[in-house]
Amino acid sequence: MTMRSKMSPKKLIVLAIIISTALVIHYFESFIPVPAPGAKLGLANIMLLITLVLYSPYEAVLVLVVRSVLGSLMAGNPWSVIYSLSGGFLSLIVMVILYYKFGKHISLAGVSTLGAAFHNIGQLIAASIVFGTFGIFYTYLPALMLFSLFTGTFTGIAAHFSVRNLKKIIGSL
Amino acid sequence: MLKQATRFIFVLVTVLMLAGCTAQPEKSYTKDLFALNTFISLRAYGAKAQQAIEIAIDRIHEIEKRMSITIEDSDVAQINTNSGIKPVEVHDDTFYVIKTALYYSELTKGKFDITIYPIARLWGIGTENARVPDIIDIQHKLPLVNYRNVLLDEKEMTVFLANKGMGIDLGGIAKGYAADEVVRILNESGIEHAIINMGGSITTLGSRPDGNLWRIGVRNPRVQNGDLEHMAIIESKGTSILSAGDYERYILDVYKETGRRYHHIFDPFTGFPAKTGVTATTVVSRSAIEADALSTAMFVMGVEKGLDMIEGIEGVEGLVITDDKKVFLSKGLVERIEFTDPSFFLAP
Amino acid sequence: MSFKMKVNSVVKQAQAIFKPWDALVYGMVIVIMVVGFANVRILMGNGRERLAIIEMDGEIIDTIYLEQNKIAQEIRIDAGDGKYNVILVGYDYIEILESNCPDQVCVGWGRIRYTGQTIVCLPFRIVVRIVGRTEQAPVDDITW
Repeated sequence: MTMRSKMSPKKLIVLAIIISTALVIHYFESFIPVPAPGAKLGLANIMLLITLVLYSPYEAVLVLVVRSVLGSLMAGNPWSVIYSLSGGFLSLIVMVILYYKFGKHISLAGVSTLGAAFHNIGQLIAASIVFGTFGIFYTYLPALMLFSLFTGTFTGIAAHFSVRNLKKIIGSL
Repeated sequence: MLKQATRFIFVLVTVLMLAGCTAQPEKSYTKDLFALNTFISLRAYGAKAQQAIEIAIDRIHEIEKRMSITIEDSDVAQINTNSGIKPVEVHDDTFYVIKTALYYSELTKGKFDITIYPIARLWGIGTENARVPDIIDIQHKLPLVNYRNVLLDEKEMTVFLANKGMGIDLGGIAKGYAADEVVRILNESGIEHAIINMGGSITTLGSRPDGNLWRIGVRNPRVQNGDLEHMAIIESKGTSILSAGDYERYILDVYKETGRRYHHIFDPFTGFPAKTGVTATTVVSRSAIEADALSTAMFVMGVEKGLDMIEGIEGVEGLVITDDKKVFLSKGLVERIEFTDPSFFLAP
Repeated sequence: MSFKMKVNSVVKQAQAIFKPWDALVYGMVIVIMVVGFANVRILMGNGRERLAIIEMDGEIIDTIYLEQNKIAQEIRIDAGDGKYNVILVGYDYIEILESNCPDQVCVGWGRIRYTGQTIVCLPFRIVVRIVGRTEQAPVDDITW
């Protein structure tokens, strides 16, 4: 992989804002009770999705990694990186495939929903490996899937509208 | 652009998945089986658990083939058939077990004696022919019980029962040997945590996988409805804990009629089930074979002499429960035991 | 706007956002959800479900869900040749009540309640064992 020359200052700023917004969302969503250990609502997925749409998978990965690392450093728990990244990566791969290959047939809400679902699946897999039993996986899977139906749709719709406006704002900067 | 990104993502994900694989906690593998005339349950932790246990089970079957009294051409069966006739060549593990048994007979001054077999057969306890035999028959068989008449030849690896009609039963002590062998095999296979239940005697390897000590319950010899099945808990790490008692294998009919328990732990000197006011004994030792010999001997010796003997042996602790639900402990056990049934009280 | 008109405008907005294959996505998530649910029920029992298995000679001859017995039930197991065991099943325990086996070890065993615990009738080669999820036992094993 060739070393890319540093991106334009505009892009850097936009990405920085995206990452910080993601961190803030992440921080606040951790206060909402979730039926599974270490799992998150995945509202921060909005930012990931927006990055995907506005830019490309490369930038999205950047956002994901930086957000996860900073997020866990802030929370003071280095282990949560594993949860964030496992869920995040799985979710990102799914969303990339859905958006780029099937973008014509699937809306952002759909992309986001499946992304949220796989985000949770990734986190459950990580938790199962860490705790050593697969019982965890099956026990929480249904509840989290139900959750992701709603959060995913919500995030997707939010992203849908945000993107339209953001494109205009960024374009004019 | 998409291709590059996809490749990048792929590499990153692979790296992360590999990183996740290093955090593997211990999985366990459990197998149980009927062997050595009892029920055996083996549980080991770690990646090699299944493999190690399978090797251990093969070894158990091998020991059974050599030392079982019911298998026709086992070493022990041949020794018994040739009592008073000629020495029998045996495998070195059989030799070792018999030699060890004789050592414990010496140590316990004859209270533990594998040559008790003719008497045990007479009573038939644990079989369908259990009954109280005539005292004359007992007197008749008693001279056959004498561990000193088991003659070993280390060079030829032979065992000779000097008098016709003598018989040995390696029963419990073979189980103890098997438990020690299982531990050896698991250890050699790199297993660090395991718990083995060999017909009721529990041997542990290492601690529990979470780092805590194993918690082993001592069976309550007089369990009633609603009671806890254990009256005390002893913590264990790499030790064998074995209980011997009158609460299993006794003549049911006689018990139902008279309330008397004719149980299976015989006094080699009287030919009768040991009657010392003891209900059950428990021994904690580093070796299962030792725990078996000593728990039986302690039962026959009674509280005082039994505990004295235990105190005199390094690395062994013991517990005696008497008919009146009093519990006597060896000094080293006082700190390591936790009572869970208040109806058993600790004697001073 | 009247209610009907509000509903209409929401529907129109939704139509603007959603696309045909979204249905597939939602379907997939629901399927995963159902599969997970089914697995929990079958494999693990419902959280703390106590399931006891009775084996003879290594073969499973009966399975019992303990928690369904508000009143203790008796089950008679025939081991052939007139040999029998009577098993008592309560809502959180199982024990061998009676048997005509020669050593009676199983009858004096007491009750088992936790996953992994077993009662063994050696002469008849019968094993009663608790599988399924229960709370942690206070001890790892008990001598006998």
